[in-house]
Amino acid sequence: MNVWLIAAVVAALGLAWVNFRIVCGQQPGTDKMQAIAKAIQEGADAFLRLQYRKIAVIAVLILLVLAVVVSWQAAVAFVIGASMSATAGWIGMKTATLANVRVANKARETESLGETLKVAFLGGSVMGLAVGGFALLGLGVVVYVFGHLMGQMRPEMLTVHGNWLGIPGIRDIPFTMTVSGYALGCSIIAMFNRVGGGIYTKAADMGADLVGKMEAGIPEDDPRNPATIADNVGDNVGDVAGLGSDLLESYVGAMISALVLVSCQFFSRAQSASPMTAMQLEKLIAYPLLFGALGLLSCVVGITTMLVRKMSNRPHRELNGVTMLSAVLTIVFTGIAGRVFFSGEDMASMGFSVGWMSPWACAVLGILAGIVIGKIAEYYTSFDFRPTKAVAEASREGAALTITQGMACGMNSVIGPVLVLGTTIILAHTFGGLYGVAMAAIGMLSFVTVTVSVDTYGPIADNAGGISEMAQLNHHVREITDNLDAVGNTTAAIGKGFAIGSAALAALSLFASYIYAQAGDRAAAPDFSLILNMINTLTLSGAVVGAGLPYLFSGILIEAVAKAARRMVQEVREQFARNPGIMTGEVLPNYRQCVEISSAGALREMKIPALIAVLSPLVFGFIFGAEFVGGLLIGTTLSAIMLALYTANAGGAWDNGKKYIESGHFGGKGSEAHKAAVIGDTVGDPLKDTVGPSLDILIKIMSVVSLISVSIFAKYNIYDWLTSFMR
Amino acid sequence: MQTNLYLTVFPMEALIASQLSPEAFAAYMSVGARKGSAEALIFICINKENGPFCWEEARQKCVPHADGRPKRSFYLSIHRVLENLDLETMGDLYLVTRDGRCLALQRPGIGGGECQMPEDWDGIGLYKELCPVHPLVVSCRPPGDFGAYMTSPDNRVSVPSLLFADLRIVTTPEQSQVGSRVGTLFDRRMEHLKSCIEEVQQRRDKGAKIVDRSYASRFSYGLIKNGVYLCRGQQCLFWPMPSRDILKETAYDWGRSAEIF
Repeated sequence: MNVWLIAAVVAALGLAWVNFRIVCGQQPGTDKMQAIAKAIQEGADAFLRLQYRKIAVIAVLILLVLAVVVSWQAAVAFVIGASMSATAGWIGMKTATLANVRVANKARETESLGETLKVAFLGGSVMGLAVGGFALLGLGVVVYVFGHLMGQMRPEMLTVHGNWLGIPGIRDIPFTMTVSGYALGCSIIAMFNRVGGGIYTKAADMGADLVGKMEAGIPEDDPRNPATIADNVGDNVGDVAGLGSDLLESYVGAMISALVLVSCQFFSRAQSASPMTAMQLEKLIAYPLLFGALGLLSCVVGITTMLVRKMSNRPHRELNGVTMLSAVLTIVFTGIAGRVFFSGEDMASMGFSVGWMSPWACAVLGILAGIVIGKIAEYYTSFDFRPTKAVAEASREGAALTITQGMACGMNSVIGPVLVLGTTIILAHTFGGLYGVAMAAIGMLSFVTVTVSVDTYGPIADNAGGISEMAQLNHHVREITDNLDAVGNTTAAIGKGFAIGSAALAALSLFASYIYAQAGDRAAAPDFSLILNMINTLTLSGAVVGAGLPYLFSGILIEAVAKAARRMVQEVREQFARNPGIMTGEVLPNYRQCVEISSAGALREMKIPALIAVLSPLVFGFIFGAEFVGGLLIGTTLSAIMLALYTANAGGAWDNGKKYIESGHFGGKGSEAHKAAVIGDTVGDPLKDTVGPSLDILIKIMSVVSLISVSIFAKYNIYDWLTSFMR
Repeated sequence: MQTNLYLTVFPMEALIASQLSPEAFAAYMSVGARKGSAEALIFICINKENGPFCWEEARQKCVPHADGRPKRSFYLSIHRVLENLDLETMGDLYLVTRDGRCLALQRPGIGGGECQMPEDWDGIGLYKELCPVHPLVVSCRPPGDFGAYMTSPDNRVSVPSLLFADLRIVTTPEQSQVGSRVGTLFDRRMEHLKSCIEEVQQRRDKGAKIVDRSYASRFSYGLIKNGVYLCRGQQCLFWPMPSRDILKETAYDWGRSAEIF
């Protein structure tokens, strides 16, 4: 397993480096293009540097708490996780800001869609490979150093241990805490990158659109718009760095959920009639990592295949091709590996119903579920299908009906994915128990490298379009970048489906681990069963409150975007009013001021939502105890999945409904329908790009924080203390 | 510094002397003067002083500022200007977008065949009158005939001169599916437009039927089909609108500002 893991990480990071060099080797274009690209680079660099500085303060606090209350190993793992996530985000953003201008220039030089697509995908692949590579590198280091070298994975160590300070009652399985620390590190960075980047990008986007496009009548990405550089910076910090960290966190979350679950199950079954053997334990912990490694290698093969051959002029087909190739290779490689890996094992005693195939079949189920969820997302958000066309058609009757129809579309879109998820959970559980469910989550994200590459290519193409527009390049260039950007919008919606689906599956495994951790030593009792009593008033109350939390979280996020966007609108209006020369093209607008407004807004507003995610399980845990938090997790998970699907798909439908009209339907640009559709799109923007993607991180942060802290608040909480007086 | 004469015809009729070039004048009038203004504008360059206007005063007042900046505008008249100018002196016509970009339409000559019968004439014309009145009308007459009819003293409701554009007609949602960007003509006005067309087709004696009395704020350049016409009796000037393909090659930025691309 180690060999495959190392090979995969080396291959992924090596190819990322090669692709990075190839991107850098491309010509950056004219002086004007380079000047615009430089402004975007500087804005993105400055924001991410400031953001990481702010996160560092909070990360140090979490690190200290982990080191004191849990263990220094968990604290170190937390740092490794945060570093991996931050590094992947930084590298992806850096590459994207170098690639954007080169994509524009490739389109300028060749006027070939295929050639331009190749450069855009090269840039995106660096982010994808960095996500896959760094996620596995960090996890490999944590498992190897703490699990193997320091012995936390040894069977005798996979038992409940006391806190190193000797605080009575705080007991947990060290290995589960260490890997959870790693996951928490990834999640914290992902949360800040997603929330901060999301607020940044939408504030800039809305500011640019509301004043520049709607009030002043200037086209998208026009250099006279003061917010246009901020808008392009936002694409990089939100849609590249934010997306990369988000999917890295999802990937790690899925892996961790399996490792923690196996560790808990090993401990729980140790005293039972059919205990897990040491060999079984090792294999069940190794298989997710092996699966991840083979998935990563498949993606390396897929990406290399795409880059060495001549690209056609059909970007959608090319991108689908590389995704499908990587998915098929993953299925084949992991199937062979599963056959070899589990040969001779007594699979039935591990709770697997279809022999060696069980974990693999569950993962394949996850892959298929991911594809189906992606297709459902495409159905509801692409204007090739009825729901989005209906949103566009409703725009003929005005903005109110655009919004109503978009909401209906988003709500309708929820049932399909949840039916798929429900079926997947049942089937995966039938094949492989809760471990099977965790494997389904891993399967769903096993080719995350390609998913992120495809998703990142979108904002790079979008930025290239912006640079082409600002540099006033030939219309052929802009048509090429617009074409690439349009495909990117659909792939982004599909990617979100994968992130949400995997979050739901991983959350279930983490939730099972939570119940094990809550039980502590009792989990090893022969009569212990994994039951959450929903009739318990504390659990039920927790579920009710938990269901409300994603709404509070989303409301705060939308408010944050609105606040930052308002400041941007005021600034852009003021610049136009102060200096009419901006509109006549005689004077350049103050781009820097808008970049600073977006940056300051995002940095100011991102803390509260992130703190809600981290602190709510702790606060409720110390007040009401573990049963309440159990309910809280269930409620939050269910509510957040629905809300995430709804926001992502409604936002996508509004966006593409507008694009459908812009392609000439219902009067095209300038029509009443278009005006209504623009309003719908503006409403949907913060939903799909800020709220939706942040919700799946919320689920996992809350799950991991609860898992790490449950042994403490199960022992020390106000509710138990008060009721002890009443008894 | 040269003084240019501009006849603004939309949204307001005025004769203006200015030391700005047509492009600078376009930017100044649409976005450059009043803070935060954004207004579409159509104007025609006037090649020679003519008509009953205060030319001497214009020559005296339209001089550079003390600091050397050119005089941007001196209004000679804001009422009944078009009818008092000689058609021969009309130069290029400029379509200015809300964000100040302008497209120059070249004037080929007076009384060309395009005025009388466009190649793609299908029996119905949709005309946006631009100056001195602003309604949107349908007519069974081709542009030249329509202009002559509207400016004939024999007609009870006539104007001395009329500037108008012919617009593309889409009367069914199916037509809009093939990429016809008909902007604000779509939907709510479609049924009404159809009934107006039916009425002028049934009553051949009816020279024109008003579809919309003003239609000023909703008019967009993307709707223009063949070009802009200026008629005075049998005289007709025509400024042809470039095709989409030509616009894409030669005026892509203007096309984006005009929401054509």
